[in-house]
Amino acid sequence: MSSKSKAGRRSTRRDFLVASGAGAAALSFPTPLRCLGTTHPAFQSDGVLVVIYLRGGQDALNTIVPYKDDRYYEIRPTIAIAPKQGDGFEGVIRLDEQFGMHPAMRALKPLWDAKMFAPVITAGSPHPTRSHFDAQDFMEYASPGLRTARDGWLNRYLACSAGRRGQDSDLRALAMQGLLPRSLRGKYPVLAVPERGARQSGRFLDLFDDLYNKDVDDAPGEGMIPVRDGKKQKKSGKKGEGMSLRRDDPVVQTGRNTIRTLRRYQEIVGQGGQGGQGGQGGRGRGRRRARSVYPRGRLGDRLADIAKVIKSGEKMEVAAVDWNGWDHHTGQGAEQGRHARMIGHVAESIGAFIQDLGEHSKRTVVMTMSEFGRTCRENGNMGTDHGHGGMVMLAGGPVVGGKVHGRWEGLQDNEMYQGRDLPVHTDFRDIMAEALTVHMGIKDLPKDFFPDFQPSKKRLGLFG
Amino acid sequence: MNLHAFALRASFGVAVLASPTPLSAQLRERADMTPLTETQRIQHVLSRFAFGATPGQIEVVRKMGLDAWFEKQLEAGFREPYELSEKLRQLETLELSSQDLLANYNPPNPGRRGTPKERRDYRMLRSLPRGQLRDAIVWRAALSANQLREVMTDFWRNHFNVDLNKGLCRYYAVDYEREALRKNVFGDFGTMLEATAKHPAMLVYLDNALSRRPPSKQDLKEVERKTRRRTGSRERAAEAVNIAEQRGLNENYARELLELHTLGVDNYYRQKDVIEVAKALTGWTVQNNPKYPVGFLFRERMHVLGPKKFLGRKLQRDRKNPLLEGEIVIRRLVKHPGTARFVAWKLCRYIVDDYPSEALVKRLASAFKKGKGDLKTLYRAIYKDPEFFEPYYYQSKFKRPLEFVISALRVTGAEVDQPGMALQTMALLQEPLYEQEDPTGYHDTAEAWNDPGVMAVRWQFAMNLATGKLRGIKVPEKFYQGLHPRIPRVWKDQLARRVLPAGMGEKTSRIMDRMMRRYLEGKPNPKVTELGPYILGLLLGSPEFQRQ
Repeated sequence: MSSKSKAGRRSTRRDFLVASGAGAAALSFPTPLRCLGTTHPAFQSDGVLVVIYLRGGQDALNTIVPYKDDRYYEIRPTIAIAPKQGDGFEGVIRLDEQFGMHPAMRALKPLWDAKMFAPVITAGSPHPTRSHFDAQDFMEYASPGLRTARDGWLNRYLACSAGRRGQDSDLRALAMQGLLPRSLRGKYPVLAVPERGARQSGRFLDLFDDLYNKDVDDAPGEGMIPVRDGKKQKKSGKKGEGMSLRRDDPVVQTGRNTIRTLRRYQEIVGQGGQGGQGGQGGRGRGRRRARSVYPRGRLGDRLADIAKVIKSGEKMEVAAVDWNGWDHHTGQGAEQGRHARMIGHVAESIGAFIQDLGEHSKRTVVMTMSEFGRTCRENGNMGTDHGHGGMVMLAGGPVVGGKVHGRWEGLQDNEMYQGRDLPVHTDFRDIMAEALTVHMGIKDLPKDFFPDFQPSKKRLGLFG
Repeated sequence: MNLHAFALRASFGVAVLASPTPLSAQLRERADMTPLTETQRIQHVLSRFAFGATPGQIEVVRKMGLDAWFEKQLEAGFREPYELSEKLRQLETLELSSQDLLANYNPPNPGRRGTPKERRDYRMLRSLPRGQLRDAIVWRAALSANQLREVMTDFWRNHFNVDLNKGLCRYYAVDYEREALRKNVFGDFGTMLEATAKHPAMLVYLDNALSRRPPSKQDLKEVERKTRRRTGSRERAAEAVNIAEQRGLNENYARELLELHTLGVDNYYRQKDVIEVAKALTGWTVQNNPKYPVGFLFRERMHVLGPKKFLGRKLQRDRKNPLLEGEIVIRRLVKHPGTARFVAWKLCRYIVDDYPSEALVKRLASAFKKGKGDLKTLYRAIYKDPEFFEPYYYQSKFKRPLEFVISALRVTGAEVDQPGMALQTMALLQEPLYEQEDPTGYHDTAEAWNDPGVMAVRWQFAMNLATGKLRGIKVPEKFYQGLHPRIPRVWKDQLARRVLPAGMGEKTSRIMDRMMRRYLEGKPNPKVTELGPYILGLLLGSPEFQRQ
């Protein structure tokens, strides 16, 4: 099984090289691309933005490695990524004269070569906090230092661009997890599709569709019927009083949203677990059916599901995925180990996702974010502590790829933030702004889109 | 049976998300609401100070008298059912010390070279204590007669959250739950706070065990000497010194102690205080020499020396005051009015409403102060407060995943041989026990849980529980006893009385009547075992059952 899937992975990589070189000729599409060419005249973009949030503070330095810098090897004696292959381990994958990728990220190399992958180094939040919770909130609400913001940045985008691509789709924004990530929370209604294990509940949908039905909202009677053993009892309160359990009840509203999402979702991609691995189809069967080989794991599963919606031609614009567990204070590992496994999974998932999208990858951008980077020096426990500057990774057709974006000043103490962390040269909000304006095509971002912040006029040149 | 025969197949419309204005806050404005009846009062208490009523429990409490029931709960004076003690006896790790757990359930990792069986055994053994801890939580919550203790343990478990995936917490958590939390839920706040502060689980989870004074020049010389002797390289030694220099204060626990455990975020304290508290707590670490009991250890040489100030007052340890500086901090925090307010507010939010009234919180804070942090006084103060029984708080809380699952098991009197599926449901609902990474603990307000992505999981659990599709969990046949033998039309109301003692919305009721009619048209004489489970499943998945 494992050797088979390895072989499969190799061949798909080759496929990708062919496909990306020949305009995805190797891939065929059974469904017509309804979305392409039918955009609202006032709104030229049909871009899709998929944000992967790596929670816990992803280590930027061991992801895009300054392998020419001796100082890097000096301050990370046990966890640095070797510049060259050694006995029993791989070295960095060279990107240019200065930087290389972590060897576990080999799945992204074809994308790099096809100029569809680019990291932005020394990017992050200017706020000095090293608290995960504050830093995540600040980044997902795009309002460093402000605790009052309660709409996520993607939700604000949805609100301010509503109706600009014609009728808003039910699946305009999507989270493939039970609870919405903060970036999608807010006034604009966003649908969360439950985890795969939960989706077979579609079988019960007809029953609960009735129970949560809205048709009865207009019928009289809002009161409660108190149920008491034996005797009959009069109603609590007069008509229309007591607790209204229907019209205004957020539980009922949630129930209806659930039904609507699942129905729509099933219309588009069929019942729960098909395609991809896991779910109803069982691992083995699903794997063969998938267009490209996603690695096993939650991130791969979720991206595979998002890909289905994008390929369906449904006008989906943004999706967000969370992935926890990047807080590697101890035993982080180097070429192999915990960080390697996780970054490898991210790379393989993104690689499979872009390949799976085929033609649609031309309009899709995947963006990874994390609340902060980690200390430049390793700590006493072969790990790293909460830092400051981090990085953003971008993949997809519209990305100006094959290039390491961002400023690099080396790892001397006076270049580090407070003498210990990577500095922030690129404010994350500038990257968000550019993704929304250049890629998503919203020409006029409202002035107060970022509280107390105006994105810089100068383009970073990340998308083209 | 064909599920779809039961459904009406209505077309679904496009709903707009309602703005989540709290219902209770709207209703509070209205003076004309009917006061709760006696049954409703009992139901209210059983859904807030217990994880819901079991079959027949409302009658039992009525006979005993609600006040008497509550007082006996405060003493944990009810005899536990035999089946609970039997089940807990199966869990051999539950009463073990951390030392024993580490000695017997933490085998060396066979690694990649191990055979598949070795690797499987390794994983199984390692996850045994953690699994049994979780099983015990479900069994106790579902079956214990002393519900108040279980509800309060749940509250404090989230207040003093630890994540068992960090370090050795999967072993420490067993002792943590038993000794730091459960033992103190009817004791006083100060004792519990100190017990958590000194517990290996907390010391590891929030990194205080690593927090130390930055190394002195002498320490650094020592490091250099040792490294040079070991490696023979001057550069390596210099780098080791460089790394050693990084070690030092860790603010993690100090910050959460103030922000989440006592004063509330940014109340009364500043960053300066966080650092001072962190310094006072340096040296509080874990004794993990396997030869001795695992536990709290004060390591003098990690402690930051010198004068410290906290909230404007000096912290001093001297001959007259033999307490550790950290202990002085904790005692001061327990007495602080900010702590009384914060803890009172948080408990109100958990027990009473997502948005408890200011006046109620104030009264409880003063009860906390008067009782010097005595927790029974605090719980009783909520129960005795007339506002607790105001109709606008009735059924105003959205059940958290744990509350939903446990109350469903209780209301059906389900036989739980294996809690696995209940635990799995909680995990799918995003509340896996003891796995909250954030020190905030799991949230207890509707805002955090009422998301469309998880509603379907609730329905699925409701239907699977009712139709007997959950491995190791079964609704006993006697639950359906007493249904009218010939008139299935009334089964819905009969079962609703059992599942929703708080009552049912008129509209939900009408819809279910319609569904019943439709079903009975096609199949006029169903058996209880055919139709009953579907009615039960719908009731458990109804909007009414999501509230308490």
